Amino acid sequence: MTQLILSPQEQGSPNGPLLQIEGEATLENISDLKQALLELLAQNAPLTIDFAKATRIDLACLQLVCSARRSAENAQKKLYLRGTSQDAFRSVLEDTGFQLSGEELSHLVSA
Amino acid sequence: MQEQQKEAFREEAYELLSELESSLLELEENPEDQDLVGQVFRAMHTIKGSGSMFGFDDISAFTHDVETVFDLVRDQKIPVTNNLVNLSLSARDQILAMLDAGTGQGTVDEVQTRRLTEQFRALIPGQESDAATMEEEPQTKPDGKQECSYRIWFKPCAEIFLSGTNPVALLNELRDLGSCHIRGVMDDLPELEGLNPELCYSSWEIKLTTDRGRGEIEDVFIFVEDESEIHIDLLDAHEAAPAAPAAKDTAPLPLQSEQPQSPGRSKAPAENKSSANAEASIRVPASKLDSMVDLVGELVTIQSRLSQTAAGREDAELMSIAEEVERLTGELRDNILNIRMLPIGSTFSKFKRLVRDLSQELGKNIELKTSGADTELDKTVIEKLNDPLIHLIRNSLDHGIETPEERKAAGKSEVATVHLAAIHSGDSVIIEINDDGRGINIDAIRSKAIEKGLIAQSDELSDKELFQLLFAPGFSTAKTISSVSGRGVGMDVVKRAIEALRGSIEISSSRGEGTRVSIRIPLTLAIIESLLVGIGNSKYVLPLNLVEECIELSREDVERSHGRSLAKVRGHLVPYIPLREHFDTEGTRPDIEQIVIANINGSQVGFVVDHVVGEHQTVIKSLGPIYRDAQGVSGATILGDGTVALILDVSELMKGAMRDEASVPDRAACC
Repeated sequence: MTQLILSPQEQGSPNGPLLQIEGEATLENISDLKQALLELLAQNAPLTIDFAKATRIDLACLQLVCSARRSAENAQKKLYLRGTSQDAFRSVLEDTGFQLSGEELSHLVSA
Repeated sequence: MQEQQKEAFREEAYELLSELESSLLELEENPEDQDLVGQVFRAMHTIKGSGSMFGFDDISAFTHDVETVFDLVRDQKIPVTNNLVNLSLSARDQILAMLDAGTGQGTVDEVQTRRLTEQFRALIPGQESDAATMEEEPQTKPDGKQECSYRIWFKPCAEIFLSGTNPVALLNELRDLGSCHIRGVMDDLPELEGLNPELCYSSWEIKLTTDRGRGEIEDVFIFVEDESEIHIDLLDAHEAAPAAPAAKDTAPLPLQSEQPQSPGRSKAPAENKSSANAEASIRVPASKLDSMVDLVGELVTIQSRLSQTAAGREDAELMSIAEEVERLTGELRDNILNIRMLPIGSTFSKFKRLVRDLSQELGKNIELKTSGADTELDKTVIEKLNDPLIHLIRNSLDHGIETPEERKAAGKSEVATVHLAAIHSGDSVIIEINDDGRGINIDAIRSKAIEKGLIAQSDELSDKELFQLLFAPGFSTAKTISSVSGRGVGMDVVKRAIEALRGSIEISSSRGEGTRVSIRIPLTLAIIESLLVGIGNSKYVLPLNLVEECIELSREDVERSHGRSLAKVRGHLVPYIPLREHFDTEGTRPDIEQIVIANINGSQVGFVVDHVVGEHQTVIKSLGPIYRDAQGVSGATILGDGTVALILDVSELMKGAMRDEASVPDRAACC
């Protein structure tokens, strides 16, 4: 059974709120993830998503994250990704042929 | 379930094969037409792909080489030649045979399969035609295969996740084919609020270097090709360098301007078209339609009963309901019958092939022109028309059309024309076969008919009547019997087949100019407009399309004609058949009877009945095997009050009467 644990923390990171993703961030749970992201992004602070504990990430999740980044960008907010060098995130990028683009990301990607 | 899918594949394949045939024939005329090449290729590709999916491995393996050849044709590496078209047509027939064999009809000529496969392999440059490797999939022998680079653009449909297909799995399959550089694109990704996270917004640009053929790349997408946008372009062979590892830049792969294939010619647009077609129509077994037509028939019967009851009650409310039901039933009937209508064009394209093959065999130069291919006819009628039409066309090609030398000598163009036309005319369709051949020698018919004892030396027959003699059993004016026609069975079989469809056939011809065969077929077989008549207590039905008029026949008229069954209609003498006597009906003749004048193949015949009831919607029911030999009756129908009325076969009645006349010599002399 695929399981996703979302642990939003109001002050989880030095930058502000943090969404800790644990387990499988895949199509089956994608609506929950979207909901959580929407709520956190509505707050007026930079958001960090931490994938370090994710065991599996799929294309749907990747799309969602990209969309969230686009929204944040347009709203002049910061969205940081963490844990993207872990296996789960790396393999979804490899499989799908996407790259984390833009300078913004390269410095955001921190283990 | 598996069987159902196989059946669906078969149906699709039959359709594709007939499309393939017409594409190939067109291609023969326009060898440069890349669209046609594309059509042939796609047909082969689909047959191969779905063949292997549903376990028709023989078809799939056989089609593979044909497809490979057409891929090369598409890339303009092999020219379209007559030989190629011939070979492809044979291959198409072979696939058809394989399909038929799969349903237990006929067997496949394995030797022919091998021979064709070898011939196709011989066309592929750098491929030795080795029968020993036949069973092996060619890609298992990479030796001698050149590495090619392809650029693939893959945009899955948005719902791909929901259909259970993971696009990433497809990408992985591509990775297995060779070295692969995949770049994902998410250009039209909406913002988070507007995002449906269960849809796919991604597309991919893939550069694949592989020694496998294009076919294998296409196979990867076989389950999604209908819904997705897929372009596969062959890049220049020189670019076949191993793909560089994913560069860190996100610039799109440079577009090659020298790419040999424009996207417009790639498969995506046509695939989209086919999926649009799929949405616009559904496939229904013909048996379901048949039972629907039966039900509507029942409904029409009940409706006429309702109308009759309502008319008897003088209840205004009931009457208005009955009228409403009548209107709706009529619409429903027309709609249902319309569903069964198919354009006759598919049959026409079959004849293209027939004419092509036959004219090669006969050494004649014949062009088949068709018109009215979109004329619609009942499905069953079209199927039953096939054999008679084949026979007529064969006849025309074999006997009618002269050899090129003869034509030249007669001052005609060397290319003969056979014109096949379908024309809508009222509740019938007229199918005409016109040729510009030598025409029919009417004197030959005459002497042959006298020789066979069909007519007497002294008989004066009109040309029309003489031509009708051609339909007499065993009548053939051909001096020699060829493989094409003149096998004894012939025109009489054609005529019987046409009459079984309640149609009629006529020939006209002028010496040296050509022959015209004209077939008139009613649009549908299930429900006809008819004239309901009464004799004594019985009711009979005559097809309305044959009825010209009704006139009165008084006792005085009968006495005046001195026992001859002839009535004067507008100055013409029209023979009539007293149906009361014919059917041995009990009771006495009324003082004033009615003659229903029918026109059968141009001659007028009257049928004497007690009274004419009026027009009637007749749902034709067959009489069943016991009454199969009953002459003069073609079926039955159930009337509104539940009684059965027989449907009269007027042409059979007329023939019967003529036979009777002939057997009474003194009477015949009177006429």
